[in-house]
Amino acid sequence: MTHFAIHQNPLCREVQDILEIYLANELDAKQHAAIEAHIAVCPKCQNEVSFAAAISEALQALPRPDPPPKIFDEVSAYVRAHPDNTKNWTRWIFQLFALSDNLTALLVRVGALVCLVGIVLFGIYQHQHHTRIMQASRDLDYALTKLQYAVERRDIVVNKKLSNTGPDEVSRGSFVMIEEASRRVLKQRAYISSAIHRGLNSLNQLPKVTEDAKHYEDSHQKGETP
Amino acid sequence: MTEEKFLGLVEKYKAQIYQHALYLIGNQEDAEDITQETFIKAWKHRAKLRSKTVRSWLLKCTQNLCFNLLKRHKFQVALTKGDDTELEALLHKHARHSNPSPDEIVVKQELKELVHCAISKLPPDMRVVIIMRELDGMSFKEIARVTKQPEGTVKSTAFRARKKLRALLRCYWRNNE
Repeated sequence: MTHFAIHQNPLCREVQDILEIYLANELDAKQHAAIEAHIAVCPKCQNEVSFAAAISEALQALPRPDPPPKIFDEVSAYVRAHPDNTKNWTRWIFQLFALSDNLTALLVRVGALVCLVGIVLFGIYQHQHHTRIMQASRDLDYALTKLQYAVERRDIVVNKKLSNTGPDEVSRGSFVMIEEASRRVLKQRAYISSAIHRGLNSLNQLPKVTEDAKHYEDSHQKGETP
Repeated sequence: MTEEKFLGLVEKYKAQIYQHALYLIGNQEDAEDITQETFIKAWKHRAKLRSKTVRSWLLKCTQNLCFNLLKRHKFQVALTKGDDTELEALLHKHARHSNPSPDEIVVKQELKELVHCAISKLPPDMRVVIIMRELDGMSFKEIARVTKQPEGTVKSTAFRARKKLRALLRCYWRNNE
Protein backbone atom coordinates (compact mmCIF):
# COMPACT_ATOMS: atom_id res chain seq x y z
CA MET A 1 0.00 0.00 0.00
CA THR A 2 1.40 3.37 -1.05
CA HIS A 3 -0.04 5.22 1.91
CA PHE A 4 1.73 3.00 4.44
CA ALA A 5 4.93 2.90 2.44
CA ILE A 6 5.13 6.70 2.53
CA HIS A 7 4.93 6.74 6.30
CA GLN A 8 7.76 4.26 6.75
CA ASN A 9 10.46 6.78 5.88
CA PRO A 10 10.75 9.74 8.31
CA LEU A 11 11.78 12.07 5.48
CA CYS A 12 8.76 10.98 3.44
CA ARG A 13 6.59 11.74 6.47
CA GLU A 14 8.18 15.19 6.72
CA VAL A 15 7.46 15.81 3.03
CA GLN A 16 3.85 14.82 3.72
CA ASP A 17 3.62 17.34 6.55
CA ILE A 18 5.25 20.35 4.96
CA LEU A 19 4.71 19.80 1.25
CA GLU A 20 2.48 22.87 0.81
CA ILE A 21 4.95 25.08 2.67
CA TYR A 22 7.76 23.66 0.51
CA LEU A 23 5.82 24.30 -2.71
CA ALA A 24 5.09 27.87 -1.60
CA ASN A 25 8.86 28.43 -1.03
CA GLU A 26 8.22 29.35 2.59
CA LEU A 27 10.78 26.96 4.13
CA ASP A 28 14.22 28.15 5.18
CA ALA A 29 16.98 27.51 2.62
CA LYS A 30 18.54 24.56 4.45
CA GLN A 31 15.27 22.69 4.95
CA HIS A 32 14.17 23.48 1.40
CA ALA A 33 17.38 22.03 0.00
CA ALA A 34 17.03 18.86 2.12
CA ILE A 35 13.44 18.29 0.98
CA GLU A 36 14.36 19.04 -2.62
CA ALA A 37 17.21 16.52 -2.50
CA HIS A 38 14.95 13.86 -1.01
CA ILE A 39 12.16 14.42 -3.56
CA ALA A 40 14.69 14.11 -6.39
CA VAL A 41 15.46 10.51 -5.38
CA CYS A 42 12.13 9.36 -3.89
CA PRO A 43 9.44 8.25 -6.40
CA LYS A 44 6.73 8.20 -3.69
CA CYS A 45 7.37 11.82 -2.79
CA GLN A 46 7.57 12.80 -6.45
CA ASN A 47 4.12 11.28 -6.83
CA GLU A 48 2.95 13.32 -3.81
CA VAL A 49 4.27 16.51 -5.41
CA SER A 50 2.37 15.65 -8.61
CA PHE A 51 -0.75 15.07 -6.52
CA ALA A 52 -0.40 18.47 -4.81
CA ALA A 53 0.22 20.13 -8.18
CA ALA A 54 -2.90 18.48 -9.61
CA ILE A 55 -4.93 19.80 -6.67
CA SER A 56 -3.51 23.28 -7.23
CA GLU A 57 -4.45 23.07 -10.88
CA ALA A 58 -7.95 21.91 -9.99
CA LEU A 59 -8.31 24.78 -7.50
CA GLN A 60 -7.22 27.27 -10.13
CA ALA A 61 -9.79 25.87 -12.53
CA LEU A 62 -12.73 25.85 -10.12
CA PRO A 63 -15.95 26.79 -11.88
CA ARG A 64 -16.96 30.43 -11.52
CA PRO A 65 -20.70 30.49 -12.11
CA ASP A 66 -22.26 33.80 -13.10
CA PRO A 67 -24.86 35.17 -10.71
CA PRO A 68 -28.43 35.14 -11.99
CA PRO A 69 -29.53 38.52 -13.39
CA LYS A 70 -32.34 38.78 -10.85
CA ILE A 71 -29.76 39.65 -8.15
CA PHE A 72 -28.83 42.90 -9.88
CA ASP A 73 -32.47 43.63 -10.71
CA GLU A 74 -33.62 43.18 -7.13
CA VAL A 75 -30.75 45.19 -5.64
CA SER A 76 -31.37 47.91 -8.22
CA ALA A 77 -35.09 47.93 -7.37
CA TYR A 78 -34.27 48.23 -3.65
CA VAL A 79 -31.85 51.09 -4.24
CA ARG A 80 -34.37 52.97 -6.37
CA ALA A 81 -37.10 52.33 -3.79
CA HIS A 82 -34.83 53.68 -1.04
CA PRO A 83 -33.18 56.68 -2.66
CA ASP A 84 -30.59 58.82 -1.00
CA ASN A 85 -32.86 61.12 1.01
CA THR A 86 -30.11 62.76 2.95
CA LYS A 87 -30.67 66.52 3.14
CA ASN A 88 -28.49 68.64 0.93
CA TRP A 89 -26.36 70.10 3.73
CA THR A 90 -25.92 66.66 5.38
CA ARG A 91 -24.89 65.20 2.03
CA TRP A 92 -22.47 68.08 1.57
CA ILE A 93 -20.89 67.31 4.97
CA PHE A 94 -20.68 63.60 4.09
CA GLN A 95 -19.07 64.45 0.77
CA LEU A 96 -16.65 66.77 2.47
CA PHE A 97 -15.51 64.00 4.81
CA ALA A 98 -15.79 61.25 2.22
CA LEU A 99 -13.29 62.87 -0.11
CA SER A 100 -12.05 60.69 -2.91
CA ASP A 101 -9.18 58.45 -1.91
CA ASN A 102 -6.71 60.15 -4.23
CA LEU A 103 -7.49 63.58 -2.84
CA THR A 104 -7.26 62.24 0.71
CA ALA A 105 -3.87 60.68 -0.07
CA LEU A 106 -2.71 64.00 -1.58
CA LEU A 107 -3.87 65.93 1.48
CA VAL A 108 -2.11 63.47 3.77
CA ARG A 109 1.13 63.88 1.79
CA VAL A 110 0.88 67.68 1.82
CA GLY A 111 0.16 67.60 5.55
CA ALA A 112 3.15 65.36 6.17
CA LEU A 113 5.38 67.70 4.11
CA VAL A 114 4.17 70.78 6.02
CA CYS A 115 4.82 69.00 9.33
CA LEU A 116 8.32 68.03 8.17
CA VAL A 117 9.19 71.59 7.07
CA GLY A 118 7.76 72.90 10.36
CA ILE A 119 9.91 70.50 12.38
CA VAL A 120 13.05 71.50 10.43
CA LEU A 121 12.36 75.25 10.86
CA PHE A 122 11.64 74.80 14.56
CA GLY A 123 14.94 72.89 14.90
CA ILE A 124 16.86 75.70 13.17
CA TYR A 125 15.20 78.33 15.38
CA GLN A 126 16.00 76.32 18.51
CA HIS A 127 19.61 75.90 17.40
CA GLN A 128 20.04 79.64 16.79
CA HIS A 129 18.41 80.46 20.13
CA HIS A 130 20.72 78.02 21.88
CA THR A 131 23.77 79.50 20.11
CA ARG A 132 22.81 83.03 21.25
CA ILE A 133 22.40 81.87 24.84
CA MET A 134 25.75 80.08 24.78
CA GLN A 135 27.44 83.21 23.38
CA ALA A 136 25.89 85.39 26.11
CA SER A 137 26.97 82.87 28.73
CA ARG A 138 30.56 82.96 27.44
CA ASP A 139 30.51 86.80 27.47
CA LEU A 140 29.31 86.76 31.04
CA ASP A 141 32.00 84.30 32.13
CA TYR A 142 34.65 86.44 30.51
CA ALA A 143 33.32 89.62 32.13
CA LEU A 144 33.18 87.97 35.56
CA THR A 145 36.79 86.84 35.22
CA LYS A 146 37.83 90.37 34.28
CA LEU A 147 35.87 91.79 37.20
CA GLN A 148 37.50 89.39 39.63
CA TYR A 149 40.90 90.36 38.25
CA ALA A 150 40.10 94.10 38.57
CA VAL A 151 38.91 93.67 42.18
CA GLU A 152 42.05 91.72 43.05
CA ARG A 153 44.18 94.43 41.44
CA ARG A 154 42.41 97.14 43.40
CA ASP A 155 42.85 95.21 46.66
CA ILE A 156 46.55 94.71 45.94
CA VAL A 157 47.02 98.43 45.21
CA VAL A 158 45.10 99.50 48.31
CA ASN A 159 46.91 97.04 50.60
CA LYS A 160 50.29 97.98 49.18
CA LYS A 161 49.73 101.70 49.62
CA LEU A 162 48.23 101.31 53.07
CA SER A 163 51.09 99.09 54.23
CA ASN A 164 53.74 101.45 52.87
CA THR A 165 52.22 104.57 54.36
CA GLY A 166 50.41 105.27 57.56
CA PRO A 167 46.71 106.04 57.50
CA ASP A 168 47.40 109.72 57.96
CA GLU A 169 50.11 109.78 55.33
CA VAL A 170 48.21 108.42 52.35
CA SER A 171 49.48 110.53 49.51
CA ARG A 172 47.41 112.03 46.75
CA GLY A 173 49.19 109.75 44.25
CA SER A 174 47.97 106.66 46.13
CA PHE A 175 44.37 107.89 45.96
CA VAL A 176 44.72 108.44 42.24
CA MET A 177 45.85 104.82 41.80
CA ILE A 178 43.04 103.49 44.00
CA GLU A 179 40.50 105.52 42.06
CA GLU A 180 41.93 104.20 38.80
CA ALA A 181 41.54 100.60 40.03
CA SER A 182 37.98 101.36 41.20
CA ARG A 183 37.13 102.77 37.79
CA ARG A 184 38.30 99.52 36.22
CA VAL A 185 36.02 97.58 38.55
CA LEU A 186 33.07 99.78 37.59
CA LYS A 187 33.92 99.45 33.93
CA GLN A 188 33.85 95.67 34.22
CA ARG A 189 30.57 95.86 36.11
CA ALA A 190 29.06 97.86 33.22
CA TYR A 191 30.40 95.26 30.84
CA ILE A 192 28.77 92.50 32.90
CA SER A 193 25.46 94.39 32.90
CA SER A 194 25.67 94.60 29.15
CA ALA A 195 26.44 90.86 28.89
CA ILE A 196 23.50 90.00 31.16
CA HIS A 197 21.31 92.24 29.06
CA ARG A 198 22.37 90.46 25.88
CA GLY A 199 21.85 87.07 27.51
CA LEU A 200 18.37 87.93 28.72
CA ASN A 201 17.57 89.45 25.36
CA SER A 202 18.35 86.02 23.86
CA LEU A 203 15.88 84.49 26.27
CA ASN A 204 13.19 86.89 25.04
CA GLN A 205 12.89 88.68 28.38
CA LEU A 206 14.13 91.96 27.05
CA PRO A 207 11.33 94.38 28.06
CA LYS A 208 11.47 93.58 31.76
CA VAL A 209 15.24 93.34 32.05
CA THR A 210 16.03 96.38 29.94
CA GLU A 211 14.92 98.51 32.87
CA ASP A 212 17.35 96.75 35.20
CA ALA A 213 20.15 97.08 32.71
CA LYS A 214 19.39 100.78 32.23
CA HIS A 215 19.39 101.24 35.98
CA TYR A 216 22.85 99.66 36.22
CA GLU A 217 24.12 101.70 33.29
CA ASP A 218 22.70 104.94 34.71
CA SER A 219 24.19 104.28 38.12
CA HIS A 220 27.50 103.49 36.45
CA GLN A 221 27.42 106.79 34.55
CA LYS A 222 26.65 108.65 37.78
CA GLY A 223 29.60 106.89 39.40
CA GLU A 224 27.53 105.23 42.11
CA THR A 225 28.87 102.11 43.72
CA PRO A 226 26.52 99.24 44.31
CA MET B 1 -22.48 57.95 -3.05
CA THR B 2 -25.01 58.30 -5.83
CA GLU B 3 -27.35 55.52 -6.89
CA GLU B 4 -25.64 55.20 -10.28
CA LYS B 5 -22.22 54.91 -8.72
CA PHE B 6 -23.46 52.30 -6.25
CA LEU B 7 -25.12 50.23 -8.99
CA GLY B 8 -21.80 50.38 -10.85
CA LEU B 9 -20.17 48.78 -7.80
CA VAL B 10 -22.89 46.09 -7.71
CA GLU B 11 -22.23 45.31 -11.39
CA LYS B 12 -18.49 45.12 -10.74
CA TYR B 13 -18.53 42.89 -7.65
CA LYS B 14 -21.73 40.84 -7.94
CA ALA B 15 -20.02 37.84 -9.56
CA GLN B 16 -17.25 37.68 -6.97
CA ILE B 17 -19.64 38.03 -4.04
CA TYR B 18 -22.00 35.44 -5.46
CA GLN B 19 -19.21 32.91 -6.08
CA HIS B 20 -17.78 33.58 -2.63
CA ALA B 21 -21.17 32.92 -1.00
CA LEU B 22 -21.81 29.89 -3.20
CA TYR B 23 -18.54 28.19 -2.22
CA LEU B 24 -18.99 29.09 1.45
CA ILE B 25 -22.59 27.92 1.71
CA GLY B 26 -22.69 25.32 -1.07
CA ASN B 27 -26.30 26.19 -1.87
CA GLN B 28 -27.36 28.28 -4.86
CA GLU B 29 -30.52 29.81 -3.37
CA ASP B 30 -28.85 30.83 -0.14
CA ALA B 31 -25.90 32.25 -2.12
CA GLU B 32 -28.32 34.42 -4.12
CA ASP B 33 -30.04 35.67 -0.95
CA ILE B 34 -26.72 36.43 0.71
CA THR B 35 -25.43 38.31 -2.34
CA GLN B 36 -28.54 40.46 -2.36
CA GLU B 37 -28.42 41.04 1.36
CA THR B 38 -24.75 42.03 1.16
CA PHE B 39 -25.43 44.75 -1.42
CA ILE B 40 -28.50 45.99 0.43
CA LYS B 41 -26.41 46.30 3.60
CA ALA B 42 -23.76 48.11 1.59
CA TRP B 43 -26.38 50.59 0.34
CA LYS B 44 -27.55 51.17 3.90
CA HIS B 45 -23.96 51.82 5.01
CA ARG B 46 -22.95 53.73 1.88
CA ALA B 47 -21.64 56.67 3.93
CA LYS B 48 -18.89 54.42 5.32
CA LEU B 49 -17.84 52.89 2.00
CA ARG B 50 -14.58 53.95 0.37
CA SER B 51 -13.60 52.90 -3.13
CA LYS B 52 -10.28 51.41 -1.95
CA THR B 53 -11.79 49.19 0.75
CA VAL B 54 -15.18 48.41 -0.74
CA ARG B 55 -14.14 44.91 -1.92
CA SER B 56 -12.82 43.98 1.53
CA TRP B 57 -16.00 45.38 3.12
CA LEU B 58 -18.27 43.37 0.80
CA LEU B 59 -16.28 40.13 1.28
CA LYS B 60 -16.27 40.53 5.06
CA CYS B 61 -20.01 41.20 5.04
CA THR B 62 -20.63 38.13 2.85
CA GLN B 63 -18.49 36.00 5.14
CA ASN B 64 -20.37 37.16 8.24
CA LEU B 65 -23.76 36.52 6.62
CA CYS B 66 -22.66 33.04 5.50
CA PHE B 67 -21.35 32.13 8.95
CA ASN B 68 -24.56 33.39 10.55
CA LEU B 69 -26.58 31.24 8.18
CA LEU B 70 -24.38 28.20 8.83
CA LYS B 71 -24.82 28.67 12.56
CA ARG B 72 -28.55 29.24 12.27
CA HIS B 73 -29.15 26.06 10.32
CA LYS B 74 -26.41 24.12 12.06
CA PHE B 75 -24.94 23.45 8.64
CA GLN B 76 -21.49 23.89 10.05
CA VAL B 77 -21.60 20.55 11.89
CA ALA B 78 -23.28 18.78 9.01
CA LEU B 79 -20.78 20.01 6.46
CA THR B 80 -17.63 19.42 8.43
CA LYS B 81 -18.39 16.23 10.34
CA GLY B 82 -21.54 14.57 9.20
CA ASP B 83 -22.77 14.19 5.66
CA ASP B 84 -19.84 13.00 3.60
CA THR B 85 -22.03 10.92 1.31
CA GLU B 86 -21.72 13.25 -1.68
CA LEU B 87 -17.94 13.16 -1.67
CA GLU B 88 -17.87 9.43 -0.96
CA ALA B 89 -20.29 8.75 -3.79
CA LEU B 90 -18.17 10.78 -6.18
CA LEU B 91 -14.98 9.06 -5.03
CA HIS B 92 -16.65 5.68 -5.42
CA LYS B 93 -17.99 6.57 -8.86
CA HIS B 94 -14.65 7.78 -10.17
CA ALA B 95 -12.78 4.88 -8.58
CA ARG B 96 -15.11 2.35 -10.20
CA HIS B 97 -14.98 3.91 -13.64
CA SER B 98 -11.34 4.86 -13.67
CA ASN B 99 -9.22 3.19 -16.23
CA PRO B 100 -6.11 1.29 -14.99
CA SER B 101 -4.01 3.74 -17.04
CA PRO B 102 -6.34 6.73 -17.22
CA ASP B 103 -5.90 9.61 -19.57
CA GLU B 104 -4.40 12.58 -17.74
CA ILE B 105 -7.13 14.94 -18.92
CA VAL B 106 -9.85 12.70 -17.56
CA VAL B 107 -8.10 12.42 -14.21
CA LYS B 108 -7.74 16.18 -13.99
CA GLN B 109 -11.39 16.71 -14.92
CA GLU B 110 -12.51 14.23 -12.27
CA LEU B 111 -10.17 15.77 -9.73
CA LYS B 112 -11.64 19.20 -10.44
CA GLU B 113 -15.10 17.87 -9.65
CA LEU B 114 -13.85 16.19 -6.50
CA VAL B 115 -11.94 19.26 -5.31
CA HIS B 116 -15.10 21.32 -5.76
CA CYS B 117 -16.93 18.89 -3.52
CA ALA B 118 -14.05 18.49 -1.05
CA ILE B 119 -13.92 22.25 -0.39
CA SER B 120 -17.34 22.02 1.23
CA LYS B 121 -15.90 19.45 3.66
CA LEU B 122 -13.29 21.88 4.96
CA PRO B 123 -13.91 23.71 8.24
CA PRO B 124 -15.32 27.22 7.58
CA ASP B 125 -12.12 29.11 8.47
CA MET B 126 -10.11 27.01 6.00
CA ARG B 127 -12.86 27.29 3.38
CA VAL B 128 -12.84 31.09 3.58
CA VAL B 129 -9.08 31.31 3.13
CA ILE B 130 -8.92 28.75 0.29
CA ILE B 131 -11.79 30.47 -1.58
CA MET B 132 -10.26 33.92 -1.25
CA ARG B 133 -6.83 32.61 -2.25
CA GLU B 134 -7.77 30.33 -5.13
CA LEU B 135 -11.08 31.66 -6.40
CA ASP B 136 -10.66 35.40 -5.82
CA GLY B 137 -6.88 35.34 -6.38
CA MET B 138 -6.26 37.48 -3.29
CA SER B 139 -2.84 37.84 -1.69
CA PHE B 140 -2.27 36.62 1.88
CA LYS B 141 -2.03 40.27 2.93
CA GLU B 142 -5.44 41.09 1.47
CA ILE B 143 -7.01 38.01 3.07
CA ALA B 144 -5.49 38.99 6.41
CA ARG B 145 -7.05 42.45 6.06
CA VAL B 146 -10.51 41.02 5.31
CA THR B 147 -10.48 38.30 7.96
CA LYS B 148 -8.75 40.57 10.48
CA GLN B 149 -6.13 37.89 11.25
CA PRO B 150 -2.33 38.08 11.19
CA GLU B 151 -0.80 37.25 7.81
CA GLY B 152 1.10 34.29 9.31
CA THR B 153 -2.14 32.77 10.60
CA VAL B 154 -3.73 33.12 7.16
CA LYS B 155 -0.76 31.41 5.50
CA SER B 156 -0.81 28.60 8.02
CA THR B 157 -4.58 28.12 7.52
CA ALA B 158 -4.11 28.02 3.74
CA PHE B 159 -1.39 25.37 4.01
CA ARG B 160 -3.47 23.28 6.41
CA ALA B 161 -6.47 23.55 4.08
CA ARG B 162 -4.46 22.25 1.12
CA LYS B 163 -3.07 19.44 3.25
CA LYS B 164 -6.59 18.50 4.28
CA LEU B 165 -7.71 18.51 0.65
CA ARG B 166 -4.86 16.12 -0.13
CA ALA B 167 -5.98 13.87 2.70
CA LEU B 168 -9.61 13.94 1.51
CA LEU B 169 -8.70 13.10 -2.08
CA ARG B 170 -5.86 10.68 -1.44
CA CYS B 171 -7.82 7.49 -2.10
CA TYR B 172 -8.87 8.80 -5.53
CA TRP B 173 -5.26 9.63 -6.40
CA ARG B 174 -4.06 6.22 -5.17
CA ASN B 175 -6.61 4.44 -7.34
CA ASN B 176 -5.35 6.29 -10.39
CA GLU B 177 -1.62 5.90 -9.81
